[in-house]
Amino acid sequence: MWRHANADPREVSKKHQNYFLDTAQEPINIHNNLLVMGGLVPASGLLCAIVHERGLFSCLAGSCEVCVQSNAVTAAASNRVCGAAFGIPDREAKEPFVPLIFSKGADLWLGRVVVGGVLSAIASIAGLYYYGPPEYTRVGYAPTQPVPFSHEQHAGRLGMSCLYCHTGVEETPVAKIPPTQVCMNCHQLIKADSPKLDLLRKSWSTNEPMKWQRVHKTPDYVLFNHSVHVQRGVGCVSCHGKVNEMPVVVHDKPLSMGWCLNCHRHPEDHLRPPSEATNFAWQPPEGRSQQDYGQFLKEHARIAPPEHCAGCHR
Amino acid sequence: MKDANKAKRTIADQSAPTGVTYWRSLDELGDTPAFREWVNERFPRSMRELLDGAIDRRQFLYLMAASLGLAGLSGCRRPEIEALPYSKPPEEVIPGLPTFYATAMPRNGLAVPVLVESHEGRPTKIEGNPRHPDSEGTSDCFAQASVLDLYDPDRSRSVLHNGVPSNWAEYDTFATDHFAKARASRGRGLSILAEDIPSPALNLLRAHLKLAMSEARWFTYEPISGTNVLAGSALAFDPPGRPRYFLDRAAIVLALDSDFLGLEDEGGRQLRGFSAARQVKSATDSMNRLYAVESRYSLTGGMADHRFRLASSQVIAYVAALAKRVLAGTPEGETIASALAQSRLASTGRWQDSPWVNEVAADLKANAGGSLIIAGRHQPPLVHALAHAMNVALGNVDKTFELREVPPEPSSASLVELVRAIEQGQIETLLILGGNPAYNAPAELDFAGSLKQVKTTIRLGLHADETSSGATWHLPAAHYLESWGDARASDGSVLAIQPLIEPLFGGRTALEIVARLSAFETTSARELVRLAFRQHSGLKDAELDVAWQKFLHEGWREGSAYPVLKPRLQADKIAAAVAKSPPTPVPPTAESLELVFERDATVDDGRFANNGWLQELPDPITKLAWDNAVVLSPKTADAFHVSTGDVVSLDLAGRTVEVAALVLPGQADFSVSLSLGYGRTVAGRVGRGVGFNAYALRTTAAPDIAIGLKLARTGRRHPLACTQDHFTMQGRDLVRELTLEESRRLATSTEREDATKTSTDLITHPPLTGEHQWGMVIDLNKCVGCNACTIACQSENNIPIVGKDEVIRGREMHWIRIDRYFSGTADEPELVHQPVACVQCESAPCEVVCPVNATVHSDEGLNVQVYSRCIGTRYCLNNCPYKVRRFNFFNYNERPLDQLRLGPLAEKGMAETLKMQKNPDVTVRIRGVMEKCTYCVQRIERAKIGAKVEAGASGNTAVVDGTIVPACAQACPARAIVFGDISDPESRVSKLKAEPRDYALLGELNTRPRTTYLARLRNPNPNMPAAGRERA
Repeated sequence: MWRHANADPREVSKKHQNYFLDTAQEPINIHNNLLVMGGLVPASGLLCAIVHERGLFSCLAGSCEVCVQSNAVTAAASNRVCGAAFGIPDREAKEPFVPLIFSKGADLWLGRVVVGGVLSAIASIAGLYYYGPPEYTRVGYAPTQPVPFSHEQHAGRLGMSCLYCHTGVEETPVAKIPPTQVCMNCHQLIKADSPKLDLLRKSWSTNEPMKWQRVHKTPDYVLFNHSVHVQRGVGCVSCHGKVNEMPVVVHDKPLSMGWCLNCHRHPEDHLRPPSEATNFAWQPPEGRSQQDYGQFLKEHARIAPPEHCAGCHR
Repeated sequence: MKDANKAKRTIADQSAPTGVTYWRSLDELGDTPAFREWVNERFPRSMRELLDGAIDRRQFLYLMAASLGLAGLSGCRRPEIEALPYSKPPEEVIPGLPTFYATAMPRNGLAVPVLVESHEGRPTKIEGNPRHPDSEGTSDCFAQASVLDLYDPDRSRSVLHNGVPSNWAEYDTFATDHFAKARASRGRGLSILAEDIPSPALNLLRAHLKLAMSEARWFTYEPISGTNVLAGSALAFDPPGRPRYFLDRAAIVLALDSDFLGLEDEGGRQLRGFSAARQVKSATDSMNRLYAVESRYSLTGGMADHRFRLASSQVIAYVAALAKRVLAGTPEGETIASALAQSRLASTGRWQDSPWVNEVAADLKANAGGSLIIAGRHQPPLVHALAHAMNVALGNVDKTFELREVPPEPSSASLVELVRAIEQGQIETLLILGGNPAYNAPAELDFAGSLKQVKTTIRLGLHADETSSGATWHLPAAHYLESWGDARASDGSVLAIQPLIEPLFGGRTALEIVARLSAFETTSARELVRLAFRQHSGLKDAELDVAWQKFLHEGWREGSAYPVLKPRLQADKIAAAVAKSPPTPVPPTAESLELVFERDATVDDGRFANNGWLQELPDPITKLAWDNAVVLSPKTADAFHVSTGDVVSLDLAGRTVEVAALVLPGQADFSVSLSLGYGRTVAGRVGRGVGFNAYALRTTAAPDIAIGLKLARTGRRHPLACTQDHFTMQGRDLVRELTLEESRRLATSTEREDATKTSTDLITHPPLTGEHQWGMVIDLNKCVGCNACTIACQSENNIPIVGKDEVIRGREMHWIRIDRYFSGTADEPELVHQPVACVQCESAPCEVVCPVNATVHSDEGLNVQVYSRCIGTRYCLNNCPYKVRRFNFFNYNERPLDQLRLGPLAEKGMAETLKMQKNPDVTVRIRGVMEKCTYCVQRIERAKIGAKVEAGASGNTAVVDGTIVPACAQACPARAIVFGDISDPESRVSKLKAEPRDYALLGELNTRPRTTYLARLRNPNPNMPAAGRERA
């Protein structure tokens, strides 16, 4: 509780009493009354200061001439001022009281402020909950690449294997972004003069890397390993979506921790024979559901994905 | 102030037309060379050169790594991250998978075979070379920490000419001209001072140098050398050679002031053999017995079954008495024995009835052929010769002891001769290759002063240090991980030194400098090594190519070791030396103390002074980090009324040094020891001004043991950062000890203490259903406390250093610490070491108190710490009975250690080069996060993933026992740490846990730790007096 430094507690309490009993006739310093209101005082002091166009401290210190001198504040006047300020009806008022600071409806709008605050807090939490997680921030991210490489064309229509470019995905933690050299294997002959491939040829001749925009990325403290997923029967499509239908690669799945854990807890929903890992069109055998067939694979290969923290965070 | 204003004006006049100049320090004000050097360090020229020049694979790799890292910093919500693949990928680098290269670390006259892990072109971790017999995959703290030296941001970054930054082009212009003139005069006035590194390629160059410049002289200097060892061997044997010891075949070992398990050459290999002879599994297994005679507690003394405190200068008397007893009546030693009987070495009568002579001699003789006597580097050649004579007389040759030929190296003169030549004005140009003689030369030579008399000094060094300060040219040297080269291991086999990375700061190797000096046909170090390889392998054409590839792949050439000699004992020569030898000096007293100079267990001879890992590593015996101190016995300390932390003044023949004192039980009375390598004045940010310079007292006449030291109190105190101030276990059986007899009884009895009690379990853990259940056993009977595990862990797990202040507050970050306890009396204590890391309790007290679930249990029994959840309440640390959790009180990775308390005002950011050292598989932790040993979970997961990838669609996912080796176990030269699956009864760890010696640390708390210990065994000689200790 904030208190006035000079206020004698006994005095304060006496005046406090006066204020409520409304018996004292001598002028009192309304600031003391304000001060005993504790935490509310700074706020009303601020309002007073604004209304009287005086410095905040002059009001709080009781040195503001507006209240103390010009009004020659009496208890009654003080009651009017402060009563109005805090919405207490003035019992002595002979004529209709013109509120100085707060209207009679102050209660109402104060209440509205409180309710509004609570509502907006709920709204921001809800907003964060919806807009914050990767499901919203990540999914749909489709940056423009320096060279308009189309997976739809290469992996889809031409039917190239994912592994032709993304070598290492079966043995290493990372699915390598292919070096320029891999592109040039074909594009030295095919579309060798296409202006769209200028940057590619430049990278090839200067040995500078291509500056691809990265789409999928796990945070630094997540140590994801491609090889173990691919080799144990999680298809590319499970995490990357139907890349073979994407002219521009889109971040299709959230890659959030909850999403990862869903599959780690129920791998049968996504398992397929490891040989079909790169097949976007793969379906479970006739007459078997994904869950049913996945369960079979899970038991056969003893799939037990880690659910403890160190499985991914080290 | 007046001067400062004047200087300010001067500078303003010169450089600032605006008239107002601000400066940040008086150095900048004066624009001193030191300041220019500082600026130069901040704005490395080499980086610019690197960007301008052609970019080859390794440079590209590390630039790429840096740009990826920087790309991640921009933006907040969705940083646009660029993925930069290679344009044309190199063949052997697979992103995401580490590659390993075999190379060698040259050090103190030998080279150590190592295997280096490299991530996308960045060397990150050093292991021993598993294919070389010197290492067999193990290493020591120096090899482990040397990777940090590579990335030291304080390394010299450019050529300096008279202290002013210059560049290689300018130096080359100078050198071409200068050395052409020198060649014209056959090298008159030219000298080279080098470290003692036996390298075939360098010898090739030296042979050429001899032809091209016959007048040029070559000097070598190593502050810590094996001179006494070789001189002793030359005295004892014909032909002389390098003695090598095989501890695995020795039942009785006597160490004469020799730390053969620690700081002597080949400490690692000897330790491996020693621990192999301590494998006690059944009631019939036997164990070696170690007697140690020494002045200061060493790692060897700590392992001894019987230890004898004896001032180092008195060891010769003891050896004489013992040799007289052992050699008497033997055909080889009779002449020596009779010479000893007449000499004044052991005539004091003190040894007449000593059990240390009678019983030890009897024990040695009873185990003839299986005993071993090893003399230490400190001891004079005669002690070595007598030890050799005893080994011969006991029939140990070719069993526990062998002699390897040491082919004559090209002749080199000593530092003393160099200084004499300088004083006589014979030397105009001095080329100093490595080393740091201005700091570590014997005090009476005043080498730094002599250097000033040389017209041109050229200095090649990793750091611009004391020696560079006075040099005309300072040239940045390439680190061994950046160099091509070759060197010989302890057995003489040739090791390959191959670069893992292009020189970070444009350094050159000694080979490249010398090749330019003598205008050799090639200046490429790789070519030189290959030429030398052709020479020493004797191969040609296709065979040569195959052998060369194998040489680089394996890291050494098999069959290149020096031959084993058939030594012939020169009894007459030893007898003559005995007769000529002066009497043993009188035992030291309070008026005339003995001072022993020790090689430091953490910074070696000072070469690792700027290595933060090693500076913060506590000395294995004193547990002192960030300092050295003069070690006194309690009795000596009482005599001088000195306690630990008092600054005392040491006066040796008029040379004075003020040093902090440290009182340590077990030190010989009135013998004090001081380790070398501290008190560097021109080192980097880590090593400058740390500790006290012992070289200032060291002279050519008494480089190891000096007599006549005077000690006086100064009344001042110096804060010492000891990581363990208490000496006893306070009644708890933290370390358990048994005698061999007791352990045999235990092995035959059926009683077993249940290490994992099953009484009420207050703490629950998730069901331990994982396929594997990880556990560890640490054999205290093998562990000598050498610290290799601590540094291996630091290097593997990205553990920061915290600085001396923080260590004093007990905030060191080592995930595995080595506790040291004394037992027995303060005068005759026994010592035990115990490595303690997180013991991975099944019922972990830390887990129940974490309010945010940041420390949880895995189904494989790991106590997992989740950094991203931790909010730093430190409840877990308080609730851990083992005190193994470590808290990041500050952002040790991002802030300079001297500015930790400045908060956001401190400089921020880790040096680019230090980032390159980090293990990419382990998170770098920030402020406010708890951390601890993870059993190297990154290695566990790597192995599990490997097994699963291998298994594919089949269900065979089990990890084979021995696949997973945590960093500590991999480095351990004693092989004391074994890790594995305790759910598999056939695994090594399960079998060790089934041994009767197995116990859980603080098992009575029912924490059910996964790491258990095997009790230490002692094998006392029943005829010896119990060394200050009551035995059950």
